[in-house]
Amino acid sequence: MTYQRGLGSLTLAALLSLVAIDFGSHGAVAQEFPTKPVEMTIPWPPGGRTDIMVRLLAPYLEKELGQPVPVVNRVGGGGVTGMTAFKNSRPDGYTISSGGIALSSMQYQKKIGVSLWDFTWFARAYSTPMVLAVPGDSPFKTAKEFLDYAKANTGKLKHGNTGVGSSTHLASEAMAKKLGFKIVQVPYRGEGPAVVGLAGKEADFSLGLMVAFRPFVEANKLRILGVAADVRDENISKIPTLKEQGVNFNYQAFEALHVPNGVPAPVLAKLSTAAKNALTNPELKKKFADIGLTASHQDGPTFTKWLKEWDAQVLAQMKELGLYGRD
Amino acid sequence: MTQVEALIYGFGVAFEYHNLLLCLAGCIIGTLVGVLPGIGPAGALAMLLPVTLSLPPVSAVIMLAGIYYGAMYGGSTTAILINIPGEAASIVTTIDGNRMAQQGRAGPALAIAALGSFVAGTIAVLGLMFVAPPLASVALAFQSPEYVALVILGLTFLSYVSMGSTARAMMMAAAGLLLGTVGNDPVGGVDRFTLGMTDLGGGFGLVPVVVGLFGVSEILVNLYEKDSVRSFTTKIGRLLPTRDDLARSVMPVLRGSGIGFLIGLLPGGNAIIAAILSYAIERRVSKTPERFGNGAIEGVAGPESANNAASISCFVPVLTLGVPTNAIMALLLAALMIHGVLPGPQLINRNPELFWGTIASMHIGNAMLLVLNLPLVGLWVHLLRVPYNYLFPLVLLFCVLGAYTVGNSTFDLFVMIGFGVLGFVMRIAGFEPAPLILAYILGPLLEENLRRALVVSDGTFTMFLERPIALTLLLIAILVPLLSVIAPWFRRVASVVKTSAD
Amino acid sequence: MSVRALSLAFIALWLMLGLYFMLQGLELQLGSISSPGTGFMPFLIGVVLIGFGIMSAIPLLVPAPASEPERLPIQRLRDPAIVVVSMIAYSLALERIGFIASTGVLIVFLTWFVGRTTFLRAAIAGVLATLVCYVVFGLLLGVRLP
Repeated sequence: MTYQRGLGSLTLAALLSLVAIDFGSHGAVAQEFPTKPVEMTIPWPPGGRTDIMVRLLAPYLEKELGQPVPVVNRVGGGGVTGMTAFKNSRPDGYTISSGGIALSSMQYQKKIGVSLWDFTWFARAYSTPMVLAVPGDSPFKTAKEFLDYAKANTGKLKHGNTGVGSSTHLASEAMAKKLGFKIVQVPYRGEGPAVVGLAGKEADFSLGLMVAFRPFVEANKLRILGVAADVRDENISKIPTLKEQGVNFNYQAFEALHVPNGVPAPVLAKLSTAAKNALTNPELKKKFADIGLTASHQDGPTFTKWLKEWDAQVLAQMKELGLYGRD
Repeated sequence: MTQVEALIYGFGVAFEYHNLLLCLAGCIIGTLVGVLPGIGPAGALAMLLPVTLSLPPVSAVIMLAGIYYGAMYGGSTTAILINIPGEAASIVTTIDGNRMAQQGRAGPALAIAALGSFVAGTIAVLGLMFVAPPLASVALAFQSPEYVALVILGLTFLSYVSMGSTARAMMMAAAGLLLGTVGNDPVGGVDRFTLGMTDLGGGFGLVPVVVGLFGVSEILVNLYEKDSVRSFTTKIGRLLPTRDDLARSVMPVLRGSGIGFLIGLLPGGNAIIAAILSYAIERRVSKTPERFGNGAIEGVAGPESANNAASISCFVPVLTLGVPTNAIMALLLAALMIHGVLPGPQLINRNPELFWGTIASMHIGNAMLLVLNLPLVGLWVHLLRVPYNYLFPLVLLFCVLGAYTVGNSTFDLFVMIGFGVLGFVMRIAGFEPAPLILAYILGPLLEENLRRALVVSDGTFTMFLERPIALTLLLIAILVPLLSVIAPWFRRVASVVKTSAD
Repeated sequence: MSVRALSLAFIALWLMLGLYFMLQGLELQLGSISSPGTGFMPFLIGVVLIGFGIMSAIPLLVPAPASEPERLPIQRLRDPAIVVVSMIAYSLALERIGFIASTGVLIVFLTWFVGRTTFLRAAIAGVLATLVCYVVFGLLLGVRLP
């Protein structure tokens, strides 16, 4: 009897202290942030580009924040499950995320209950220019030849994209519109199949990241006509820009870090500084370059402003392409 | 250097103390994870990727590879013992494998699966060594129309995968195709039939469906059909295969290895298709096809060899072209990239220790798995003797773990339960789950490739006539069933002619 | 009900689903041959499903053979039903009260109630299984368990 009572009060004490600790952590003042691990949740399965990027970044963030930064994959619903869960998580700065840029088009394709603006963006992680690739034995040897043919044969060229509504889809349509011709989209599920399809000549050209094309380029199965940037990219400096060749088009693939809305300003500031230092670290830059990404930090406010314009552009484009499906 | 010299070099790398240990660790973890219903290689790799990140690239790949085919081995274990495939490719093994287990022949089934997988693995690795690089570029000729033909072939052969009436099997296949359309339209990106649930945006998923349809429903059926829960027993016969078993398995293993190797080479090549084809071929080629579905050892030997060979040959496009053949290979690629190893045709030259070390470790891994699994056969079989009333909650627990941990999603658990109930009703009513699940997996592949092929060809179907590989596959898909329908008719005509000539 | 009745009901279910998918397919746009729409496949599959469904149903609609159709026992549904209900309860509880609690309760309950063992044995089995799983998967393999 006494044993049970003792056990009972012990349990009560334990429970009470748990509650106390829990309340206590709420009260933790921001200047002590972070006092426990900061979880990096991404809505994509392991092995994807965002996943790799984040895993490379995490150790550097750890150093900056002084706390472990475990990476968690919350997969499901094509990314929506993870993003929704993240949107609803506590805005205390202890959960950060990346991989949300995909929302730019997803939020307009159908009703998903999450949008770019459910998050506060505190740092851009990378911004890498796309390249224009054609099959290895394609008749186009330069970007100019490509452009001339495209204009003369509008509607005939086939573009292999990495998914309907994907960045490559939008990029190619933007290019076609800007330069004045029409194209046909050949949809693939993801980068791997798209690259294989291009190498197998199912598509006539593809826009995408160099890192995806590289193995095939080395095997001479693909040829890169140019990079869609204003200046040559430092990682692939041998490839001329499209602009140099008279094709005035550039397009970037980018990704950023974000938290749910409502994180207190001091905490956000800490996260921003940590991200800035991590992303400008030359070691990390080299690692990013190794996987084909150009680390290019931009702080929250600047990026957010740019993102707003980008968002408007995407919306307009989606409507034009008939991809808008939110109603 | 010549292949042999390279291989010796590779063995040198593989035999390094830490690599050996990692290979062993990988195989063990892979087997354990493969044994868990539903958590196939993808689940294991996902869990362990963070661990491998801290290892040097060669070791990381060796361990990941070990996990991968270890899981393939493990997956067949549960398929045979409790009718729950450890991963999708083992679905076909459940058919005859589990029947054999019910007849008390679980031991021989497991042993043949292990042996067959070993032989297949060895053949596949040899193939990798000598034939791989050139074949990889040939594999690029396999585009959308070829995939369409291949999947149609697989679907038509589904009738061979069933025991009962073909109409019912085909109906279940159609049902599977239908269920496969739920979720994201593979091409348009539009949601279909999701009834407003965003969780269904990706479809029902694979693991919860397999685990529910096979695992949960199996338990429900067992509970329903036994008078009292305690009375479920399995006969434990001999543990080793008979000489007859071994003799019968030789050709299926060889054929299965060949099929598996070839299919694994294709970007996006599915081990499942290899298993289906192998099973169908064995049944077609056999002089006693009625034994299939009732515990024919060939029905285990063939598909198991096929899926093991496929799991090895699917490293080829990854290592030489940098193209992941499936989600697991994508993980492997990621591991390589994080370590700064760029995959591609130059990989063999730039990082010979990686390529040949991996190949050598595959040989070693195969041997390790055989040594690990054969004695375990006895252990597994005796595990079955645990009284069912303790066993079934545990099996349910594993099912739950398998379904939940894929995406940390409670929704998946509900999917699992739903499919469990479906499977239960199906079995009681006399319909088979195998055609349904196989079609469910193949359906999206078919649709995606068909629609894409039509876009590329501007709506014409002549591409099938112009492309030799696609044409051949389609012809096989049409002719084989046609022949089996016509053949008896021909025989009758022939015998009538014969008797009238006498 | 008899197995025959159940099979017919089952087929009927799929026939209805097939019809639904066909109709939805039409709504979702069949598209053209050079650019098949979202509804293309569902429509096609719906047709095929209905076709095979009818084929499967025909043998069943033929008058019953001489032997009496066996009635499927309903009482035996009790055990499977309990399992299903407890699984649903478990799924709802899992993220609310955590893995150890939910799983422990589930295993103990199933072993004891459906398995008809003594409560003590069930409790031991449940606790043991839960802890082992938690340790092996949660801690060793790093799986995230609530």
